[in-house]
Amino acid sequence: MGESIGRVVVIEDEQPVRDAVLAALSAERFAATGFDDMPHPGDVLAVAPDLAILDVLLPSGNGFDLAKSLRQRRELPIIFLTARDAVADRVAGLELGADDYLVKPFALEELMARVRAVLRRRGAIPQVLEVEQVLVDEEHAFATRAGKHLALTSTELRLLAFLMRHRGQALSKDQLLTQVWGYDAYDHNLVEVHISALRRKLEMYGPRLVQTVRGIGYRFSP
Amino acid sequence: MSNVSEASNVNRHRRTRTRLIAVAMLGIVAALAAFIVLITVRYRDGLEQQLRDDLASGANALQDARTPQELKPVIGSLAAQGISVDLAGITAPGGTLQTSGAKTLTVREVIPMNGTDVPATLTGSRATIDRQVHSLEVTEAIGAVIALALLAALARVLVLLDRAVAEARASEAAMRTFLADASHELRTPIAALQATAERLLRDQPPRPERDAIEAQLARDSRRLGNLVDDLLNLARLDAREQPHKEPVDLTDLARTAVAATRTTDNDARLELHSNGPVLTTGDRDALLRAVRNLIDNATAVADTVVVEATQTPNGPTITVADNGPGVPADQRERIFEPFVRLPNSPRSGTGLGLAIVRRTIQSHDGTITCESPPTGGARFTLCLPA
Repeated sequence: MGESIGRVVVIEDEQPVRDAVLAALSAERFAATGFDDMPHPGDVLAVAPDLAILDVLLPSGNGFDLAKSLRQRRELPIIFLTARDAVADRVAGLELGADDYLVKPFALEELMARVRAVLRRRGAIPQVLEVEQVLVDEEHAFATRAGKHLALTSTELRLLAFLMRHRGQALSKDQLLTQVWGYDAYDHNLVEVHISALRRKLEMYGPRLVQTVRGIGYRFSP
Repeated sequence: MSNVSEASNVNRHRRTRTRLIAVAMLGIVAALAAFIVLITVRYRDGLEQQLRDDLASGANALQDARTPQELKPVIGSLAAQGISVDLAGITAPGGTLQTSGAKTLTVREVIPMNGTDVPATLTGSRATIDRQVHSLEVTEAIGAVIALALLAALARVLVLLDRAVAEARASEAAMRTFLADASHELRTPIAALQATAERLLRDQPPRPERDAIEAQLARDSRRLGNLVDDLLNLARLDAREQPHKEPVDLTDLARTAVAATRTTDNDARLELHSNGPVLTTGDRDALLRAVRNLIDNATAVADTVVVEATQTPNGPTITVADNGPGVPADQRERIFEPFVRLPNSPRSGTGLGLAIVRRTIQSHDGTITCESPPTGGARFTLCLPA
């Protein structure tokens, strides 16, 4: 599925969370490595990560301490995951220069968005997504096809970006609903309406890119 | 670790306050002693003056007497007042002329008697004064003992009260530790549940029938997570975690809240009205959550929502007004209670949003009101201290 767009280390002792994060990172073409407890800082840096996702409470230590010793060795973007949301913990995380933190439970798509944002800020991944002459700049809410501006609503833009990140994969309406709309959306019709609007705008400047996968949903492919 | 330092902080402050109470008590005792000395001196001065006046009026009475017969009852009545009279030629000359001494006070006078001037000496004893002052001193001593006992009791009550306050604070600190732990314990399994549901949902290739179930599972764990968030937020407000005090611009806060809502729900028409900064102090995150709760509620039932930050005579204010079905008059108080929902309201929320808004505003010493005209629509007004 092509080469990886970045290397991410996940240090999280809860296996379901770790596995899900690793799977989501792989699906977005990141090379991901997991650790289930306080690793030696050297072992983390050995995989040459572009970013580390750190759980704050690990069985044999504290993610804040690990962050400190990692940072002493080299500059490394860090996103903390924490099940403690007290103000003191948040302040502690930010004082350590965390690039971001997410309180558990979190939506995977939210974590992926933050990973992309941190890596974009650091210049580790490109500012824009570009596939088949379609270009999407999520940060500036801007999209073009073959150099021509696409007037997309913010939902259409998020939908297009999600389809492009998962290009070649079939995506069901429920997958799209939970990842693009979030958690209060139930209606398959919502997906159909937005897909058809998106297609209309995209196809003004070229052939169909959002394919229907019968009985399943949609796929971004030429 | 923060809780340990919090406890030792509480203890250090308590020792400082106990020392303060002791110093205050010593001050009160010193002031009381000075007051007693002053009273005694002034009382003695008053009695001395009284004796002087008695002697002077006794001398006048002697001068008014013209004959020894008239003199006798005067001397008798003076004797009854404790004043002895030494009248040359009438009393024994043994009564030598005395000057004022420690024990007595003496007045000399010349009395015209049958054409001759007779020297007279009137002597008053200070024994009575000493007796009266002594009795005052006894009274004062009893008063002082009672006052000291009262002061000691007061100091003890103050120390006990201070200890009770310190214990209450410590128990609030323990409550906060409990909430942080409970938060962690509840969030960890929900995070695992939600991550697993989402991972299954993202599996390739998709299986639409299973995806629907997994999506529901993910939604429900998300709801559970939101419920934990809101319950803990509410519990924290009840545990009186002191709101963080920082300058907050309500206009900027309203703008942030509107922007955050726009990114998650682009179907709602949200309008922001403001002109210039509206300043207050408080916990920005908590106030932002409160305003977002109001906006979320409004966008769930209405298609147009107007958010406005203004400086009013009542103080800095944010209003969130919508064109939805409104809130019936008999429900306008109840909706701020936990888990109270209006009939026909969407079930997606936790039922705690408005309760959190109210407690947040109360903890900032502000007020919240809900108005809803019969023509429809609801308007929530948050009024904060300047």
